[in-house]
Amino acid sequence: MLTLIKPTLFAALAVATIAAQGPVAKVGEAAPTTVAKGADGKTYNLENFKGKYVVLEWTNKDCPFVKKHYGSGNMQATQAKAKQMGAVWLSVCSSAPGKQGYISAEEQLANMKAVKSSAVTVLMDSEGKLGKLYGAKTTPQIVIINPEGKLIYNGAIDDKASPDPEDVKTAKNYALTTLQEAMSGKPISTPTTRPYGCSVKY
Amino acid sequence: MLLAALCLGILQTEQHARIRVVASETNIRAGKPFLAAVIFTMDPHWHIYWSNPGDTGIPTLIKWNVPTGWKVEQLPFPKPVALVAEGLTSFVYEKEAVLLARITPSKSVMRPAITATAKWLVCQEACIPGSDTQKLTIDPKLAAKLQQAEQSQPAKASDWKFSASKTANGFKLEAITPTPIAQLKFFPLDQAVLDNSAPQSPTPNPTGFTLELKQSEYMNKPPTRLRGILTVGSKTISVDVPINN
Repeated sequence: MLTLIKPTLFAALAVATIAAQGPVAKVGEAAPTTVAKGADGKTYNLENFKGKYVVLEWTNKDCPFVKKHYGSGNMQATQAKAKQMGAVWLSVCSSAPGKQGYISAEEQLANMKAVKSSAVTVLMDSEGKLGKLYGAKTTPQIVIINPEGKLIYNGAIDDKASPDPEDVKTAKNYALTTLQEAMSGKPISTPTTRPYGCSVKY
Repeated sequence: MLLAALCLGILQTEQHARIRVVASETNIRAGKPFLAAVIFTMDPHWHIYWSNPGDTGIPTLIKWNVPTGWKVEQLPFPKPVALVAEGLTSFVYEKEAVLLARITPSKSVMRPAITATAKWLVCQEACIPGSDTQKLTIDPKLAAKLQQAEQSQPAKASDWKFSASKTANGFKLEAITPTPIAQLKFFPLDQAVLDNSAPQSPTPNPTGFTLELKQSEYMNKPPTRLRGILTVGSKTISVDVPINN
């Protein structure tokens, strides 16, 4: 009897785990809104950005793929361009305390300054709430929400899945492509791509 | 001296994956193909990635450098292991990976310098990109290892027949097999085609089985062919079939 009970119990547990995670945001549907604390101490409610394009960028400063994009200046240039286009750029750190990339709010602010980030702030998501809500799998990963609050992009920063900084020169930047297409009323050519990088350290 | 040794030690442990570029054939003759390999050795708990890394990582890349006139054929990578962490499924190699190539010497040149360059990402929880170029060395003691690697290579099975079709949320792989098959696993060769974490359970029928495969949430355009490997017991069968709509 015991052998019969065990697998059933495991199955029940597995279902419970999935249910507890809740539904993950889907591209083409309304983006889930949530409240998160910024490294600057302010509280950010995604709902308050309606009317503007919002870019969420998952980050972990010790991840080699994040280093690729910050070391080459690609991420900062993308942030600056998006800002110039009127988008709101929020970096998100979902690393749990003790895991790679987890740093204090003060350290996040110092790091933003050191790398010359153009992001509004870094959202402190150490409990992984925002990350799991958007199904963030890697750093970097890019999520874009349109002014109507619809999720229009979820995926990689670009199409060159490598840790080599040389590749940014020839890569197609999905964040900027999506913003350009959406702002000119065109359909989004690649609304989802496979994000590449380090796994988010939940 | 001690300091240098310590530094070297640190550098070596930081690497977590090392390569050797080897062949076992001592009698290299003009026009006669021989097996060569890039052998990866990983530190315990560290892994590198298959041709399709799955949900995380990047593919391991090998480039052979042979003299003009020599031919080199990179053989398909051996079957990986599906590693599940944080709800993400990746296709990896742990401990050791023997990545084979077949080299055919030209008619004239004998025993020139052959090198292979590898690029990889090695991960435990954190990841470190690595690359290295090594000269081919001949070691007859490796003959058995290379031979075993060749025998477990993904290969076409002449007595198996595959067909594939598109379904509402994925693909259906149908197979006619010589014997009934209860357990198997399909690894997709292309990225962003299948949901790597979706369970796979073949439905047996009198002539073989059908296998429902769930598509990836990152698939923008369905592929025209279903490519991958099927592991059945100790066998690894390569699959490459057109997808009928």
